Amino acid sequence: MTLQKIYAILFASATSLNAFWILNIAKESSPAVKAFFNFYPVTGPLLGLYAASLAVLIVSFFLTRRAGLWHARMPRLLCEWYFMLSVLFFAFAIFPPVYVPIVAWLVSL
Amino acid sequence: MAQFLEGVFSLTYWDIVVDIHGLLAMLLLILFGTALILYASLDKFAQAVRWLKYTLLALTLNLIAVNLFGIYSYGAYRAADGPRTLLKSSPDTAWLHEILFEHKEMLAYAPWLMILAALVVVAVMGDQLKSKEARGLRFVVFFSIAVSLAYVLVIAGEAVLITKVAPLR
Repeated sequence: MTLQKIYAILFASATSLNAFWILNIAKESSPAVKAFFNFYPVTGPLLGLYAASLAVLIVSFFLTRRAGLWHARMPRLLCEWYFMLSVLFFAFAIFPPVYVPIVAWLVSL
Repeated sequence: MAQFLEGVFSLTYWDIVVDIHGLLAMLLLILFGTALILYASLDKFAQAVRWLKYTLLALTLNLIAVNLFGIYSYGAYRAADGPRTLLKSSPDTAWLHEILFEHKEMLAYAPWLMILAALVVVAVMGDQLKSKEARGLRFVVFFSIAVSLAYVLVIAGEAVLITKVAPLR
């Protein structure tokens, strides 16, 4: 149980960070998504983006905290790498010179 | 003294809010330093794991508080006559909002989450973190503290560049 909790939080944190940058690209590409996140106009869609990513964190933690796969060594190792690579990738994926061209490409489709 | 009191009492509401935001951000540096020293001392004294757990808890709460103050003052930053409008009004300063501020506001989502993950690892593992089998998780804890600190420093650097040109008043 103890190890399951540890690997569930690592997996959920990484998934939440990945959800954050994916949802950010969706928000910038689609006016409907932007409007959905803009439920509190004073702070704009940023608050919606934070709330949605937080929801992903909570849901993925509760879904994986009892998962049996964390008993095996390989999934645990992959989870540690998934966490560390997601953290590093996040800083670049939310950098405007990186995601703005992706948004422009998606809009042009 | 009179001049000092006059100055302090003439501070605006937003001056005080962003000052607290900055003060909490400075406090982070002390906690990050403590966490790194305790991590390096894990094998050196018996209470190191317990102290590291409390430091990471304080760090998580501090990072969440900085984020909450940041999101709160973000509303004033976005106001029609706020700093965002000033920055976007000139091509020379527009990049400060469109690149730096956009990056800073989103990068701030990561540090508290990484430290929360490190806190769970340390709290659940306890003294087992010192064992040879826990080398991988021990590295994850170090990685989380170090990268979180690096992200906080990037965010602080971006904030200085922005507020130098368009402070929130």
